[in-house]
Amino acid sequence: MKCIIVDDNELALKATQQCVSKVEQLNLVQTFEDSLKALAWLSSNPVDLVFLDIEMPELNGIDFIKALKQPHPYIILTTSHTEHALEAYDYNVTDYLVKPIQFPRFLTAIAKVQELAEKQNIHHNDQDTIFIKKGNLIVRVNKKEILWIEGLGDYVTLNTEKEKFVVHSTMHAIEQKFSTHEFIRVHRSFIIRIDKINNIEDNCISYFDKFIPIG
Amino acid sequence: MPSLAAEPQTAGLVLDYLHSLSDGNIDFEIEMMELFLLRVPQDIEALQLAFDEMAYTRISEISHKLKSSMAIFSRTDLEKSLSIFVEQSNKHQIDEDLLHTFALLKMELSEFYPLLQAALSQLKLRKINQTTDNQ
Repeated sequence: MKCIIVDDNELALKATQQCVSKVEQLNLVQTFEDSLKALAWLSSNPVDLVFLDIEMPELNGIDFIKALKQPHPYIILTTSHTEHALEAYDYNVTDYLVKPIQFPRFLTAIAKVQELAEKQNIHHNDQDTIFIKKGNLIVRVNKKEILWIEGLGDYVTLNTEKEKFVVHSTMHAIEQKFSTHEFIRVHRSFIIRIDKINNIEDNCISYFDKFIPIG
Repeated sequence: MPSLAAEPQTAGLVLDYLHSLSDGNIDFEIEMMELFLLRVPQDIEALQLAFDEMAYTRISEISHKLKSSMAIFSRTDLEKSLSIFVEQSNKHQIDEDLLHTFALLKMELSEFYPLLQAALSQLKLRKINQTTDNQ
């Protein structure tokens, strides 16, 4: 899960960074002491989670959230002021950590994020990858590895060369997550990669060793 | 078993939070101590200037920023003083009592820096010893 930390206090930022470093599922991609720079960076670098200080000069945490593009990443607020908690929840933040952050409490916040991500089952990460639930894990899969997607009632399977992921979703929902330049829905139950099509014959597409019907 | 980094504890210095966070990572503890010794005096100087100029917003911002640093080094007493600075400056109520509290805070810190510096030196020494032992 890609995350960033925004905090104008370098010591507090390092403390949060230390907590992040202890959690294997978290991948810290950037830290910011300047909230305006963080906001600008986020506009072209999507992440899954933001650890955000509330009280910062120039642009505080609440205004930062208001300025984020919707849907915004998961937000965990970090602050010394407990009185901001109620207001913060109005802005759809996942959790709220009081400084100095206690690691067990930090883990609880991460568990909340993971739980939300799991509820969504599969959620959009960035242009190239998606997160897919696999057992108790949520794994990142590069979209380029996905060869075809097959609908099976309330589930869809995402098939790579080596693995098959079963996800609770609809074909319509999954279709939205894949670029129309690379993938095409050829049948109510099939989405395939355009560049892997061998040939098209009557109502069938020859695709690897499969024949996929055209709907 | 206590973490390696948790061993040195200079009297009057409570580094429990730092130890709980570091999990024995000496480099992390050294970095945090060095940062405190570098940044806090700068922030205090900026706070002094803000008090001199009665710049309420700056007093509030700097005091708030300093609170996190104090909390990490378990100085909840100083954190409370800083909370009062935030509260009073937001109300534009800077009086003699508040200035006196600020003077006391600076005095407390001037006694705290050498303690932290001593702990930092011990930690650096232990790191050198560990490196030597490993060789």
